[in-house]
Amino acid sequence: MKKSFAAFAVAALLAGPVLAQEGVAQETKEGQQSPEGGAYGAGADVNESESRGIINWWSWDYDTGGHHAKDPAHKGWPAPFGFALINFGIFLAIMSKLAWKPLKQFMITRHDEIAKNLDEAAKLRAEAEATLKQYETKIGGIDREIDTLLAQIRKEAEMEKARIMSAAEADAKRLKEDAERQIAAEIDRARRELRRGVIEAAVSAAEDSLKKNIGADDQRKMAEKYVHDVEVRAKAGRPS
Amino acid sequence: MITGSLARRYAKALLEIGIAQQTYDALGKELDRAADTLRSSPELRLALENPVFSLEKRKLIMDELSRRLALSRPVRNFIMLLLDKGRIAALPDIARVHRTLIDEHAGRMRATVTSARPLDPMLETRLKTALEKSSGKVVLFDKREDPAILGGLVTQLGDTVYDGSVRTQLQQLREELLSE
Repeated sequence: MKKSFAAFAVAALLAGPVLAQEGVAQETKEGQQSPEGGAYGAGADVNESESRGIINWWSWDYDTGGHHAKDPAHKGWPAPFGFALINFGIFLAIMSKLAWKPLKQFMITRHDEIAKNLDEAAKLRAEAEATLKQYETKIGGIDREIDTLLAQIRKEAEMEKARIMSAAEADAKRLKEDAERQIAAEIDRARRELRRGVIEAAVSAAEDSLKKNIGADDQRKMAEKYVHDVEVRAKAGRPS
Repeated sequence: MITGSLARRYAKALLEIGIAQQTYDALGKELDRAADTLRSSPELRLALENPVFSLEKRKLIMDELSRRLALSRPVRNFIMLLLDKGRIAALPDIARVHRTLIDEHAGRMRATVTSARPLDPMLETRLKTALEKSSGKVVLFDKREDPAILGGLVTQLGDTVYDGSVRTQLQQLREELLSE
């Protein structure tokens, strides 16, 4: 019902100006009515009818589009506008019956989609603003963070330096002690080697000297002493 | 290589034969002779120990050797037994143990006396008397000369050694100096 009413309203809107013109035409050319009710002045030519707007509402005796009017007075008349209007109203009614619902649904869907997109856009915008704010906060605190980080790195570097220095000192101390021990051992070994060499040389010299100088008398005395020792042991009851 | 206990068993067997026949000293000397011959001749030792030569041939060689060394039948049979048992290489060890067993049986001890120069007979007698007194046995001297000991004497009586050599004293002095 509403749709029909809407269609009618549209048609009325379109017809309004035409009716108004017709009223004006009747005031100016009173007494000259067409048999079908069309307003025109007697003896009016085509230019005149054009200046009055719609001159043929209901007459099928018109003279345009290859159609020739039988009545010479209808020469130059267009097709009846009233039927065209009714035709248009019917068209609007059919269209509103058939296309209104899908069109409305499309519009609703489109509306919802646009609303949804707008919501999403608003949401994204809010998120972006939040992220921006977060980054701005971060950027704002980055200097302090860098300072803290640098201080921490410096502190760790100092600690590492101290540790390396300590380890190096310990290594140096150990190396020095090892070297000292090695030197002492080498000196001791050299001293012992020297001592051994001296002793070996002395014993060898003594042996050579004894070989040369022990005479028969010395041999006899040594044998005497040996036998005497054995005799003493034998008397003491000890085995030789 | 023969073990000491095995050499002792062979030596003891021969000693028992010698005691039974009252000829252990003579058998000991014969065994020493045979052992010395074997020790001093590598060719003979090789011929008797080498299994390349048949046992019969080795026995023939030993038989000829026994004849030349004038070995009595018990000693010859004993050596043949060693050949049969493949123990001929142990003859020097067996002879040494046999000599010790004979000395033990006869109440004797052997003393090896080493000197740089020949020992004075009077000192030798005194030394022998002293050793007999300390050991309680008759002491037989085995005298040796070794100039390397420089001076003094070295006596080995059984397992005991009394070293009075100058060389040993020098070595002791050397060790003492090195140990300081």
